[in-house]
Amino acid sequence: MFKFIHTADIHLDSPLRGLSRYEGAPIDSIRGATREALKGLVRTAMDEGVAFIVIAGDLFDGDWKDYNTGLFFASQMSKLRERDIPVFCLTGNHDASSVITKTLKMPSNVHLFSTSRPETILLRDIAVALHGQGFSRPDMGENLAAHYPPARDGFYNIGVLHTAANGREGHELYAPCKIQDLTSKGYDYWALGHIHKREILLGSPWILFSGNIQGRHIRETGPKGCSLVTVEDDGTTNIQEVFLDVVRWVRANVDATGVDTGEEVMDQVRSTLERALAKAEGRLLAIRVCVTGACGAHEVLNAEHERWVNQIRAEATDMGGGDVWIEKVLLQTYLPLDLEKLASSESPVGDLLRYIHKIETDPKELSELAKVFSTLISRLPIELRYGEEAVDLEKPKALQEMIRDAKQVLLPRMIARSLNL
Amino acid sequence: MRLLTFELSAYGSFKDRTLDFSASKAGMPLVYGPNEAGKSVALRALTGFFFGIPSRTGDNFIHPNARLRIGAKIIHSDGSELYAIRRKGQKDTLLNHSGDPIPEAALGKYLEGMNRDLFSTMYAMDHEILVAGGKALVAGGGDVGQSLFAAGMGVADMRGLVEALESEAGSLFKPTGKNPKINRLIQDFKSLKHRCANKSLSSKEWISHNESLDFATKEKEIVGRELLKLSSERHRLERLHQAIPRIARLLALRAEMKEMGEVRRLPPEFSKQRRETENILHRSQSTEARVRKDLENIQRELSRISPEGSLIKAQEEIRALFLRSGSHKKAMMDLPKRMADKERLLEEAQAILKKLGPAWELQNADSRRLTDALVARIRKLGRELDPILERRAAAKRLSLELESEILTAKEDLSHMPSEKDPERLKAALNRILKQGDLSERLNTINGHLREHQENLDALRKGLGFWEGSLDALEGVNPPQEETIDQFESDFAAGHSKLERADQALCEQRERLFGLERQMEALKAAGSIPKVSDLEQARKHRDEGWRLVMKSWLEPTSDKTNGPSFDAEVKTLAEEYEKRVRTADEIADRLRNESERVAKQASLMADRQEVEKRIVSLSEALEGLQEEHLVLERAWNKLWENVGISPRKPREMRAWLQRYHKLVEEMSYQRTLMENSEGLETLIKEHKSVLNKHLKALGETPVGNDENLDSFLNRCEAVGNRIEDARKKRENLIQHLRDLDRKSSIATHNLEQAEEALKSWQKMWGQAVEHLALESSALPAEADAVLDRIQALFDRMDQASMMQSRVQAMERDAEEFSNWVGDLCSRLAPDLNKKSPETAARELNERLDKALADTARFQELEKQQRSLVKAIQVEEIALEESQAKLAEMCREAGVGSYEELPEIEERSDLFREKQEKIEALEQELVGYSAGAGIEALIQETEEMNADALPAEMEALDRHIQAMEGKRSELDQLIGRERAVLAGMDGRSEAAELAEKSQGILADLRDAVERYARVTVSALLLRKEIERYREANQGPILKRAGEIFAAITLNSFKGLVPDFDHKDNPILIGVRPTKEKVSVEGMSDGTSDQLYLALRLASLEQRLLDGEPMPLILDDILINFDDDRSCATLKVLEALSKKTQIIFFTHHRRILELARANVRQEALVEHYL
Repeated sequence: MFKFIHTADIHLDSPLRGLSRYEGAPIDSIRGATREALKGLVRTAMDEGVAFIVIAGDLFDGDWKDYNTGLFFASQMSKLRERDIPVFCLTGNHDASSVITKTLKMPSNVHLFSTSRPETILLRDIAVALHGQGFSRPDMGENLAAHYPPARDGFYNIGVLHTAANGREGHELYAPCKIQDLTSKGYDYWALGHIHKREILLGSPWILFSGNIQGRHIRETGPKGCSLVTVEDDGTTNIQEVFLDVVRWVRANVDATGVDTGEEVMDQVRSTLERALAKAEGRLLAIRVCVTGACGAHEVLNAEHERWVNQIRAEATDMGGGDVWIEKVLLQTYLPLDLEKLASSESPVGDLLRYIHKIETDPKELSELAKVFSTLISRLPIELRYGEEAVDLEKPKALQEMIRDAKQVLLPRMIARSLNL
Repeated sequence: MRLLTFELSAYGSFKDRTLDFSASKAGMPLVYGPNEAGKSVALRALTGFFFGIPSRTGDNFIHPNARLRIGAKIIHSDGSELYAIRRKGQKDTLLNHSGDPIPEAALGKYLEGMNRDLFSTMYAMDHEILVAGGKALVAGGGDVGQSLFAAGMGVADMRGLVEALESEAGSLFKPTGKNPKINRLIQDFKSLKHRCANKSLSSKEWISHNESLDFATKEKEIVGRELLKLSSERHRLERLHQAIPRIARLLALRAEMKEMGEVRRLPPEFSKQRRETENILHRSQSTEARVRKDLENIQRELSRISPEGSLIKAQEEIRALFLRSGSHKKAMMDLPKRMADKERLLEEAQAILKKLGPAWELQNADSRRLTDALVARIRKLGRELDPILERRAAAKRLSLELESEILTAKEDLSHMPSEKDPERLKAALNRILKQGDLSERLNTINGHLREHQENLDALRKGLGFWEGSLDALEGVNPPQEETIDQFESDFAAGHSKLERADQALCEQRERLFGLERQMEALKAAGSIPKVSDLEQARKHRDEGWRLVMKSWLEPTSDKTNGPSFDAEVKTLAEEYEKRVRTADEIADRLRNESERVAKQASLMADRQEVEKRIVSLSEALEGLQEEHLVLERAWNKLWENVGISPRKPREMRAWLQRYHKLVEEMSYQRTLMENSEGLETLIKEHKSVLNKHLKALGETPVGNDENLDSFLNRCEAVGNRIEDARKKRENLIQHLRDLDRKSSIATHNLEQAEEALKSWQKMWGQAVEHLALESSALPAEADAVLDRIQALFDRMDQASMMQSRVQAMERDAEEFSNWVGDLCSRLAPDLNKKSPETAARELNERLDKALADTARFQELEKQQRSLVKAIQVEEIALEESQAKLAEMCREAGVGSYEELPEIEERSDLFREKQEKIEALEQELVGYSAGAGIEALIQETEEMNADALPAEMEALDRHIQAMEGKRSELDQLIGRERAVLAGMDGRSEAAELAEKSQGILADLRDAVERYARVTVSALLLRKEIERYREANQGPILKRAGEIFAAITLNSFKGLVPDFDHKDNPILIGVRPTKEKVSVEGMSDGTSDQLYLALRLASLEQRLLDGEPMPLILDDILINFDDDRSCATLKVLEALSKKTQIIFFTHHRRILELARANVRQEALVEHYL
């Protein structure tokens, strides 16, 4: 019997994104989350007495250049060397473009698979054969798995591969392959990397993405960790998921439909946060609170947007005792109005809605509207102009969404409630 | 949509209240409620019905939440109707007639998709919003677009809204400036990114330092090796330099050793051992001599001591004898005293015997000893006599006393009266007493009866309207109180209707009077031409013209046939001219005095209206009066059977209450009288019963007229007296019985006492016989004889005891002297001649001496043994020393040990040299670097000793240079290690990157918010402009008309104009064509302008859309009466197109509406 750890996509020192700072936010607790997660991985390996660790690519963020990150990684690997635990890594798309990966002097227990052809490493004392090939360039379009050698007889065969398999939303389609390409090799276990969400593609043989060890933004919600694999002498394989994340991303959706007052909305937010906290397992939570629904409270929420956001943050700070960071508050409520019916009514509201509808559906009007933002866009940092974090102010779809929101900004302000009815 | 009915079934303070708006088809319901009546509650109920009752409502202060109900019936412009009831709750709050839920969508059709707030914004207006609207108009400078849009929406301030959005956008981003949030965040982000780059470590830098460290480490190794080589050479030269003088010394010593030749080598400690052995030999010799002398002394003393063995053997016997001699001595001293005591006792016994009498002698006294039992019996009998005698005397005394008491008691009993039984009398008395104080009760009731009769008389007097008797009063059947209440409210309703009608009539009459006064005033200012006058004049003129024409065209016609022209007028032409002038004059006057003409026309129309109203009001008044008469008749009829002609219902209700009170009191009076009579009968019965019992007891009966209390007291006294006599007699009989019993007991006791005395006398005689006394002897005599006999036998017993003790002492003395003689003859015959006491003491002394000698002898023997042993030890030591010295001589090869010192000295010298050689060799081995001494000697032989220092100096310089180099390398290594240690995988850059992500998140939020706010502001501005363009024409025109009407033509209309920035603005136009900007209007006027714009917008909307009820809440409170009237008229006109529900607190508004709104349009409701 022996154990090993399968992990991937460590993206060491990749910053947590989208966390606005505010008074009471647990800034100190959140610092260096990916490093803490890596330390947890090393600790788990030592505690469990694993025979080796497999890292299926993406140790570092591609565009991150601070060599300190590499040195930290090397120092953690040295700890494993003291316990005679070898580490088998391969380079993923990020590593292929990382200067750190290229220049880092790894401790002697760390082995990087070749990037020019599939390489097989034999661990004769426990009869394990590891097959792997790293990315030589970031945009690896080839099916690397196709060239992996067949399984070695008498060995427990592990395939290590950085791949998008047959494609996953939000991930580039690198080293594409079909499940059949993998099963045809006759291996016992395929340790895959690249997809950040844990996913078991097949149970026999085992083919799985271990997911990353620390979520870095709200699109990476839920528990994160590595796979602790136990292989019995007869080859029986058991997989246990070990959670390593120190900050866990959570979406808290609050349905405020039919709620009349801001205080009642706060009551619902509180109970939603309570539920989230109950499942935190002592971890720090980064929560996105999203309040939705048609409600009378929309009017007050809209009128004092900032105030309610701050109140929700303060509430979370009180309840979480320093273990909650409200990543963002989305107040996406709307008025309980039949906009369609109103749009067909004979009133300034009807006129306004009809006019807005006209702009919304006219490409010319939209492109005219987009010009308003040209100065702002030119000033924005490059991170907000391109890439997955970009804010879109020009595309028709984004503009249409803004216009839809504008209705919900305008209507409650125009309704001035004459009389105390 | 219009409201047909509005039901406040259970809401706020309302309960089952229905406002019916269906009466006037397109009317203007006017809901009047003074303060506190619940106008605001009704308003809330209205929106509550349409849009649901809010979850947090304050209108549940009477009806609980679950009971709140608002109902309404509404009608759509397409004719469909809906009746629904609203309850409070989360869902299914809309119910149908039978209380089953109906979908909310059923209402949706009528509400056009609005919610509560939108509805109240667009279709409800109060005074505050009017004022705010007016102020916003002024503040916005009358901006046409904003004013129209605001009025159209029902919002007061549209400008503020646009500005708020734009200012929020401005606080987020500006193309120039640093302070807006986005600008600031971009700056922060850039600077953080820069700091992050500075804190980042490039891999090149790390590699270059790492390589430098590698190089220095390797170089240091090479230098180290070189230094090692140099220092070993330097060391070799130093070693040889040191070795050369030592080698010279070694060689010299080796030569000296050779010269000494053969030497006997003794061990190094030989000399010391030899000296020690000699010392031991001498010491042993002297010790042996001293010990032998001591031994001789001891042996001498031993021969002198010979202890006596026989004494020691008899040691115990001698000690016992010596002890016995002490007691023997004491006995010899006591013996004579004891013999004297015996003689004295015998003499005392003789004396007692003499006293006892001749029968007693010393010799036979023993045979007359009395037994203890006999003595005890005599003493006991003696003590018994006195109690027996006492008992007999007491019994005799008691028997006599009792006999005398019995005689006295028997005599008392014979004097007691005969017996009677009072029980029946007492039982009757008890029964009566149990009923309480009957006479007191009778008195109280009679008192009450008297008081109550007075009360009844007073009530009868105060009843009023009644002529009949009291008894007859109970027979009548007056009407119920409820009936009277009903009549009272009917009367009140009738009265108030009459008063209202009367007041209305007065008002109308006053108004007519006012109108007539105005008309007279107009007339007084000069006659007013009428249109009919003009028509008449024109007709007259035209007739003239026809005549002129005729005369012109037909000159032949008869002029006399002309019209009857004024006689004063000479010619047709003149006449015609006059008529033309007259007509023109009238026309001119009509034109010039058009205002007065119109006023007169209006006054006349008003007068007609008022007159009509007066007629109709008078008719109504008559009808009401008739109704009143009918009611009064019914009222009188109600009281006919009572026989009273009734006053007002309120008075009659009071009479009825008095009547009921009186009837009640009468019934009470009857009850009192019945009670009084019953009591009197009872008392009489009791008296006769008691008299019967008194007679039976033989007592005098009592007269019936006696008071019941004293009667009862007397009966009680009789009963008690009889009872006392009976108790006394019973006690006496009981006493006599007790005395008889005691007397028989006393007689018995006396007999027993006599018997006891006899039996004692018999026993006593037998007992004292033994004492030789007569039976008549007294117990005291017997006691004296007994005591004396006792003393006699005591003396005799003591004397015999003394005799036996003297004999024993004599025996002991003899035994002792025999024992002493025996011992002395065995151990010391010389003592036989001495007294036993002296012999015993000397024997003891001799034993002590013998014991002391034995102990000394043993001690000396022990010393002798140890001395013999010491001599033996010294002899052995001597032998050993001599043997050892002989052995040493053999080792050194000499005959005697005196020769040994010389041999020893030679051996030591030889050894000393050898040791020096060895030390040198040892040193030189150190210098040889492991090669051996001979190799070293050989190496030095080849060296030039003089050149050595110079060579060494050259080497030192070389080594110093190499060490300098090594230290430089050390420093380099240290520096590089420090730099690399600083590159420790720290996370500063990563933390800064994380921080910059936080700013990026803020920035993103701000940008998104900015985009939404900007788009909102932009869209709103554009729509306001578009709305203006589309609606400016028709709305401004209509608003101008309404504005003119409300301001009573102070303004003629509204026109668009431009301000100095070319923005379109609103301008009011005076009838004089003077233009007034909104800033130039008074507060009231600007409010009215806003109202005009709103009403015009509403009308515009009605052209195409579904009409909605317009809810107005006291909007007129700041309008003067004239403008209020004008506004009400405008509203009335609008109410033809859409329902207007007008809520007000003010009666004045109600009155104005009555006067100015068509009767059929106005429906009044009171809360």
